[in-house]
Amino acid sequence: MTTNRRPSPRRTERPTRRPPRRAVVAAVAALAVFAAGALVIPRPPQLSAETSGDDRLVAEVRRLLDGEGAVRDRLSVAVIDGAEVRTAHFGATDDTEYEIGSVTKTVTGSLLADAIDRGEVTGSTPLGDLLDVGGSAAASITLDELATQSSGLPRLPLSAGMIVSAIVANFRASDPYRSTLADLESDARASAVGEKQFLYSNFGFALLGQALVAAAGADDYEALAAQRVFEPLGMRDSYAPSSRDGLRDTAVEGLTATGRTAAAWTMGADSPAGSTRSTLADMVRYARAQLDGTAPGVAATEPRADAGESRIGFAWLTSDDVTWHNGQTGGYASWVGFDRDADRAVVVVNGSSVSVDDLGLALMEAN
Amino acid sequence: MEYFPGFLALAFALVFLAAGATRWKGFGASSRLELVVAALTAVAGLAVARALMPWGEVSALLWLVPVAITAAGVAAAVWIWPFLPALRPDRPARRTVVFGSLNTVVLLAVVALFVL
Repeated sequence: MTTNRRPSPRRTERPTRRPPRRAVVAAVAALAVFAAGALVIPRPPQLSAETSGDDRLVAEVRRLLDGEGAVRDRLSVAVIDGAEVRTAHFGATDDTEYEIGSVTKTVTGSLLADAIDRGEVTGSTPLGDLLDVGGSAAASITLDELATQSSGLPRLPLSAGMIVSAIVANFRASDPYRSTLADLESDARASAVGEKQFLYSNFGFALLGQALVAAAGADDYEALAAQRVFEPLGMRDSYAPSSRDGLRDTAVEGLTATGRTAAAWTMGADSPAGSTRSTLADMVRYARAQLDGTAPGVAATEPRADAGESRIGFAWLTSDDVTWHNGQTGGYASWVGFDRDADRAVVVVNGSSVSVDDLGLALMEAN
Repeated sequence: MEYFPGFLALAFALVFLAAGATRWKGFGASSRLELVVAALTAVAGLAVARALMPWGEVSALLWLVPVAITAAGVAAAVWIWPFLPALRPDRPARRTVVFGSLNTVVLLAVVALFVL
């Protein structure tokens, strides 16, 4: 221990109440650090106060989200009752672009139903007829099994690379999906196939979408989805990029559940599982076409198998009378559902990665 | 898992405070370099926690807890600073400097990866 302490005051000196200079410096430094920390106190984004659309719906959405404390920013909602469409926007417009995440799977499901109608494939076509998966267990999985989430494939390929990528992406708010078609096929060849029961699988839907691209002889999934679903429905602002180069100028970044800016999920060869970007106006066209049965491949909405407490068609889940799907990416969340008996559909698209399932269901049930 | 960065920030702030305020073996800093490394670690922990914690789910006021501990650590560090040697006298200087440098590089990498 060094001993360069200040000498004690001599008895002859008058005692002083002033603290040593070092104590003052220490206190000032501590206060400065605390003040700096207080200045940068986290301020999670809140639902935008800039609203437009139907005043009653705006108030209803506010009420339903009140007190949840989650990170919100941009949010758009549509409630379709027969011919009437009510919309509510928070910090957004009809044309604001959102990632719809796994709602993309319903597009892929529609593509399967449409391809069956065209005679390109059947539900029992094995994956091995369309993709290079050799004689692996995955080769015998049918398109029907992939579309009803009962293929026996895991949620994601269980490769070390994918696991590390998922963990890093979770903390970096980046896109964890970077596979090429060759990677996807290689993962399928290496993958074990479990029980043929409901198990939600992004991997399975990526393979399904790529198989349909091969069956149709299309350039890629983006082209196939545009040609057979988006263009027939007039969804001009919807697209399914598979790389950052494919992003349009309208693409804006969403927020993670912690309020960080999240990179766009374009997902490479996994794009059929979740890379679609769309607007509320386009999703209203999509939901309305599902509701009135005019959507391409609308047979995808018909329940075909059990999925826990729900039933599942080609991607579309049916719980009670509501047929729905949700989506979540690094920076977005979405929910689309409809009830043909009630003649109602609801679309919720959200610019942060915080679930909107409860909001969507509540709006389906609201009077 | 999602609250882990917050616990980490708290732990690093406490380690920094202990480095300046205690003489316990293994906790108290033996050199100014160790004190600086502890301070940088605490700041890096705060930066990562600020970026990764789900602040929408917990009160943002909790942020002030590790900040206050770090501030107390700064006060303790200022107080103890004159009494510490620049480097630990019982270890080769090169080893201490290399360790401190490596530690700093790792911290910068973590901050760059998860915060920037």
